[in-house]
Amino acid sequence: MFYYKTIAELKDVKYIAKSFEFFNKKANQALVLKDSVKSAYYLELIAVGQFKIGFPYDSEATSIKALKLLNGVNKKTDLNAAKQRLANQLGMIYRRLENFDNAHRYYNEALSLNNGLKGKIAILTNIANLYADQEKYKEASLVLSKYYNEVLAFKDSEIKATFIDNLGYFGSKLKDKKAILNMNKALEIRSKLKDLSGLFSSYRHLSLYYLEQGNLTKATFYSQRAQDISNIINTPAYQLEALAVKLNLENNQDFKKYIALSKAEVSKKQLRENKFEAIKYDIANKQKLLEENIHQLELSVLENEKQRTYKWLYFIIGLFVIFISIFTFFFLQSRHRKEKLKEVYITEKRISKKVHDEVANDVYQVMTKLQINNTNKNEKLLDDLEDIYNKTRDISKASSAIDLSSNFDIILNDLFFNYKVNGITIITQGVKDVDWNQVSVIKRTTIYRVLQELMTNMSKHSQASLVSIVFNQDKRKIEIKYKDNGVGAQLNKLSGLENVDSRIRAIKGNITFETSLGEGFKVNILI
Amino acid sequence: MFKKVLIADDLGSINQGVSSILKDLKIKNIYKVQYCDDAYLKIKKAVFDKEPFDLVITDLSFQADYREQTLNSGNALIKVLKDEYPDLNIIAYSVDDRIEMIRGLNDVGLSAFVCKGRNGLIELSKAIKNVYEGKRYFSPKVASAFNDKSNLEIDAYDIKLLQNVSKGLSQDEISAIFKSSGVSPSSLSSIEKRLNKLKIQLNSKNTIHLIATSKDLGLI
Repeated sequence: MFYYKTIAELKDVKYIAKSFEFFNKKANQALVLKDSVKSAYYLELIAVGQFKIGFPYDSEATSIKALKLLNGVNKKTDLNAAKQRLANQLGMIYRRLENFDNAHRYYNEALSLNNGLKGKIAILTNIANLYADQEKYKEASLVLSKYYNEVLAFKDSEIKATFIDNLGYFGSKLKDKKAILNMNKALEIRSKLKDLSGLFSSYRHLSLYYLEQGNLTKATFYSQRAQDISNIINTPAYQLEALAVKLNLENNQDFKKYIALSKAEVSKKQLRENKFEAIKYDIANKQKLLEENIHQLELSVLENEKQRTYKWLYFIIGLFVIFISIFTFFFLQSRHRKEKLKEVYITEKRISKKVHDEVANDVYQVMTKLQINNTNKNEKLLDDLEDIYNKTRDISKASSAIDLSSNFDIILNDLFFNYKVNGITIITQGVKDVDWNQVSVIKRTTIYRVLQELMTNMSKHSQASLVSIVFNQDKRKIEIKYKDNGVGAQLNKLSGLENVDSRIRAIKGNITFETSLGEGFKVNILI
Repeated sequence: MFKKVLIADDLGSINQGVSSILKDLKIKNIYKVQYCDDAYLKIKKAVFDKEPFDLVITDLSFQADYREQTLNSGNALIKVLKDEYPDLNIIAYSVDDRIEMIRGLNDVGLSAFVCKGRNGLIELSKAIKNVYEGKRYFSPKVASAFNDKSNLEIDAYDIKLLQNVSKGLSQDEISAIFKSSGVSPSSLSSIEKRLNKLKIQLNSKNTIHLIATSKDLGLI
């Protein structure tokens, strides 16, 4: 608290160095504890001190350091007040360094961060000073006079005094009659507050005012007071300024020249020195911006990468879904086909059994009755009946149930045996070489039915004496070549073999017929 | 002759025909059933009563009706009976004369198979007599399949043989070629035997006819 007062009131220069040391330690401690806000606060205090004792560029460096710390804080906590103070501080520093653009920038920033009227007034005062420094007294006066009435309502304070003093001083420059009233009022407040730097400012302004008015006595008086105050403050900046005011009163061209030159020299020096910090801050800012950009870029690259990954993922999922759909479609279609085929075979079996049980048996029953009666007169009738009986039985047989439990090559062999009558020679080749266990029940049933129909057709119509059936297995395909030496047929009159064709096509097989009258009959089947 | 016979057939009139044959054969103790399940139960009970059947004559196809059946075909009945009573004589009597089906029944030990047809009853009579004498009987129409030892199938060896014959080679020359190329059998006698077998299979009068037929069938 003592150190705070030391800086705030600038009473004893001896302790200022110690105060800096103390706050610096505090700031570092806070930094170790990762408390940027606190650290920034201590740095701010140092900056204020540095500025007050006339080290503007040191103050600038410290202020910027503090501001950076605050900008590095991510929290949404209310840092506006601190930021605004620092911005204002920087504004003042730049003003002192005659870097008007930067000064304006920081003042405006401070203004935008400030909500309180008092704070606003302080900043506005500074902005007005900035105009004044550029000898734009009209603008300066305009900035202040807007708030004049509000400020008058304030309790006496440094801010109020500075506001009024400055307004008065600007007024004096604009030859405003009321200017002196304001300046005296400010002096009164400052005396009451024992505001040393304020009093210095008042005396300086008054001295300048009276010099302009031509009242050399009063001007000298106030310049002397300003020098006294500067001696109390005991800092070179104030003392130099006081001397400058005093020398200004001496109507000596050499003095005036000296002051102008020294001021120019000082500004040049300051300009050089302050460039460093400003540039540093700019660089830091740019770096920060760059880092942010890089970070943004990385984020966007990451986002792109992510999106690309998602795109791929969606693409693959889409592809997968399509594949599954196609697969399911064909699977269902195939299953449907198989079920339909099964249904067909079941229906065939049922009809076959019906024909067998209800027609063939009935015919046989009649035949038996006639035989039991044992009358030879019935022979002709019996022949006819037998013919009907055989036909019905053949119809039944053509689609009766097949027991596929035993070896299929034996089943086929027996099937062919059924037709080895009336001097017909049947030769097979390769039946045993086919791996029938790998062939589905539906395919085996189809092969059986097709060969049965071909053989029936042969025995009924072909008058063939020789039949060969050759089997070949090539990987999963089975080739069956049927050939007989019968009378053949005209291809367009193969109506009896439509069933064969449709059966083969139902299991996606291939069948070709090759025949002409007198040329025998050839069938190639590929399943 | 058989003393006690069971007839299983769902058509009464056919039963009548069969029983008239049995009467001719002086078999008096005749039982008739119209369901396979009934047949099975009757046979089981007869064994239990120590008055077993000597012979069972059964149809193969039974019409399905309102009665739920465990055994719904003669084939199933024959398999069950042969499994439990291997010595029981069973004659199948059916419209269905497919050889592959009959072969299945033959394998489980069926005594006789008679095709229902013009000569069905006469053949049945013969079958009963044969079975009584301890022989088996198959209607002439299907008998060939069991008696005919010749196979329909010809193999790669046969084809090779026919190819060489068709080139005009003598049996001696073929034998020499087979020997040198490691084809077995290669002896002169086995080649001659095989050629004779092929002549029978292809229904050929001589070697020239055999080759002509083979060519016609596209075997060579």
